[in-house]
Amino acid sequence: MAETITIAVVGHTNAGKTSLLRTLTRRRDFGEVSARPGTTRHVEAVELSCDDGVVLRFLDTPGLEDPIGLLDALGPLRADMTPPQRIRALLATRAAQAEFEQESKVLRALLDVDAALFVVDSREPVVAKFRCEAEILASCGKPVLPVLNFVRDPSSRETAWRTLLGDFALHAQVRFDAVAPFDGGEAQLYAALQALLPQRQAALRTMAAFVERERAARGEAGLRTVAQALLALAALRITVSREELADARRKAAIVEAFRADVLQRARRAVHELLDLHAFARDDAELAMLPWLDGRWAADLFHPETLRDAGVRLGKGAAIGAGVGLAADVALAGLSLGAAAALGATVGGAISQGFGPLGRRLADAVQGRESLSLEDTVLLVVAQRLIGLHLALQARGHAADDRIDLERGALPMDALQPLLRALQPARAHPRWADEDSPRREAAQRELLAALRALG
Amino acid sequence: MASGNDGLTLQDLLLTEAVKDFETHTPLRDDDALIEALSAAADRSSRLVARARRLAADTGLAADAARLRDGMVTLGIVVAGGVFLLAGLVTLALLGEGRRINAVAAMALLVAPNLLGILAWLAYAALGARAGAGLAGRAVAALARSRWAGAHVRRIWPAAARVLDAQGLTAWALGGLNHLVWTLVYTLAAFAVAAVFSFSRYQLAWETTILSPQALQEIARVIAWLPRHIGLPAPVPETLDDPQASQMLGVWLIAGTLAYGALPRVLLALLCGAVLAARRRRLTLDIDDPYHRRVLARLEALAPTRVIDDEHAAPASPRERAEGRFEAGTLALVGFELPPEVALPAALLARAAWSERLDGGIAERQAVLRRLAEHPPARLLLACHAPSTPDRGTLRFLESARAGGIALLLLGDGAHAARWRDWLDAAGRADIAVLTDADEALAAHG
Repeated sequence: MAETITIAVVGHTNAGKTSLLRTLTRRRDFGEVSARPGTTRHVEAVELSCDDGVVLRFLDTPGLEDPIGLLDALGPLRADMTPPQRIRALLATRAAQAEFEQESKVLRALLDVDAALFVVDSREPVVAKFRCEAEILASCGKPVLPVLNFVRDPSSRETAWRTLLGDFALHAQVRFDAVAPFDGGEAQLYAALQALLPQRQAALRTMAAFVERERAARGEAGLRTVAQALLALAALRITVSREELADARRKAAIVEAFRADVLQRARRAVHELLDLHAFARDDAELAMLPWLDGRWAADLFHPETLRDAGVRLGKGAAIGAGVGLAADVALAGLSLGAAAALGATVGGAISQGFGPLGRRLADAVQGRESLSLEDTVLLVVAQRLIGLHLALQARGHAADDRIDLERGALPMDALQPLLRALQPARAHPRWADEDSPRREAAQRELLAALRALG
Repeated sequence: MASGNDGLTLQDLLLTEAVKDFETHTPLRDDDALIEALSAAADRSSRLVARARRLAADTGLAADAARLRDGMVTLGIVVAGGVFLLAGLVTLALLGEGRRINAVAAMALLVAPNLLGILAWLAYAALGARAGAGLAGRAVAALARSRWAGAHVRRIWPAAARVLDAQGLTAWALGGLNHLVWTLVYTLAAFAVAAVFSFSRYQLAWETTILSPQALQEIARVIAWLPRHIGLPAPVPETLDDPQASQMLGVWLIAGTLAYGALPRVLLALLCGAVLAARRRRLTLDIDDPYHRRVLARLEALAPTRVIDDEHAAPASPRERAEGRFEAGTLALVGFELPPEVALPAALLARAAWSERLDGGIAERQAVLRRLAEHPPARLLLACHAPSTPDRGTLRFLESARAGGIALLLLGDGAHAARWRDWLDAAGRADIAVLTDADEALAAHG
């Protein structure tokens, strides 16, 4: 039997209540979020359930838009009433159905929950209406946990807010940025809720552990997605005859088809990361990414991108495949076997048996060449995919700003260990599409290298 | 994290894995399957399986799996044929050529390969968890991929092999089959030899060039220990001159075939069966696999939310236009819920007939409203904090304020003006101007 804990999310209009719920439940489509005040005009329940039978039922409520008027309507606390009785008395009046219809929804929800999260926009000046708001919420007879939103904003008035909340005995407070959550922010929120609801401590601890486990599992699954994509791209290889390469038109067509294949695979990895982190593919801001709207094609294979990446990589021995670029600018991003993959072949032969070397020699004898992807391209793809994964993992589901992949991107030289881990794939074209125990072993190595990047 | 579930079957896992393979190459429209899965089960593994079952049925993968299962009958017939063939070979090896049988050598020929085979399997089982299906498995996988295999085999087999591997079943399934085959082979061979000995005359003895006959007799006694302990007759003649020696050695050889050939194999087959049964009860789906994570993310996004207190506001009553006499030329300036550090513009303060800052409670608000009612100014300028969110409290003040004309002056970042404008428009107060500049306000009210 599931144990359900009901929590109302309350606060002033536009404080970020729905945003907080989007982030906590990872539901990008939940409710309606906008800068327009009073967007949420009904009470809506959304559940977060964990495998161990605990369900958190959150109630999103409309904003308390006129707490001064509401406190006035509640009237002074009479000697024969408790604060919740005073609220019930107001709910029975005509005013509760008319001018305080929105506020009444919040109060009704509050009387029927285990606890409330009081979302505060810490950028707002602490004026009388917020004192009234705190007074009303603190008198509803339920544990209330203030959640200080937007605390990283330069205009945050966190100290003033903390003082005000303390004045109403709301001493347990958490900082939580609904749009860009802090690392460990959710854990802090659940820990504070445990302190506030001691009788539900075990269930909340279970939920907190579940949320943390899920976060770690998503992180790992994201790295596995990146590793799978990189391994397939490193393995990608087509064999062409020298006659075909000698014909400029046929060569151009072959190169174009190869690049299209690379892009399709990279794009698939991007989509998989978006799906994994529960962000919609057609999110307007995400569609701005050059990855998804096709401009990335020009970006990725642009000689300047590669030259730039190559320069940043330095002239390490591991980057021998860059020779392909220097030898044939028309192939930018792709390597011809003889020019580029000799090191990979020898390395592959040593670590993977002599089959690939035999194949290479057979190709040479029969006048064939194989076309593969430059290391520089692999590293650019790795950099972008890792950056995207990390950005999505840190992104709240209420965020509507554009993802900035440049900020915090890992430097190219830090990615070099990935090339070593990708080297075995160079000798196994089948790994582009097929799984095998050896490919899995290589993927484990690559995953270890990805984890080591931190 | 692997999610364990009592209800999971091998068929469930096979179809889930097969659908995963299918989707790698062919994206599927799964909206209906997701909704069905959401209502079909509460736990995540079962939901993933429910979705896969529906998609497997739609794509024909379920039918492919059924065909593969039916094909197992053919495989069973081939294996049975192999069993008879092997049994024949073992019988021939035991009987040798001619009518003279070196019983000890025949027994060695039987025991040694069997023990080696068992040792090889044990080594494979110990490494099996990492080594996949080993050589036999790879050969079967290569065969399944080849064009000789049917399309249904090519679509299902890779998934089946991965499921068996992932659940740690491969070594035990192949081992169980292997031991079962050899159990039957040795049992059949023992019966075949018994039949041959019953109706043909063979001369059984032991022969040696360098060992003493006593040593061979001692070896025969040692070999007879196991059959005797499991209740099989395994007589060893004192001397080969005994007229019953050949008959005794015949029974000894048959008992040895059963004890050293069939018995270890049947025990290992039972062990494999027990392990398989135990593991089948604990089948798990790796929900941390990126593919499953992606499906789960989409499933969770579909979980319904519920509106429990819908909007049912009474329609706003038409606002009465402020009428009456206003104090000509007067400007009232009210700072509304401004942060303490934000000052009212000095030029406006100088121009205003009176001004107030409102950041207190209801009494203060009502006092200002009373003043406005008693001495309604020609113009009321309400100075608000631009970055703050406009709310119903502000609107109620505006609605209650009595003045010839009202305008909002936003102090602070003027970029928020559009939000205030939209809010006023939505509230039906398009008549209230939104100003962001004190000079502009001064000019408007000058």
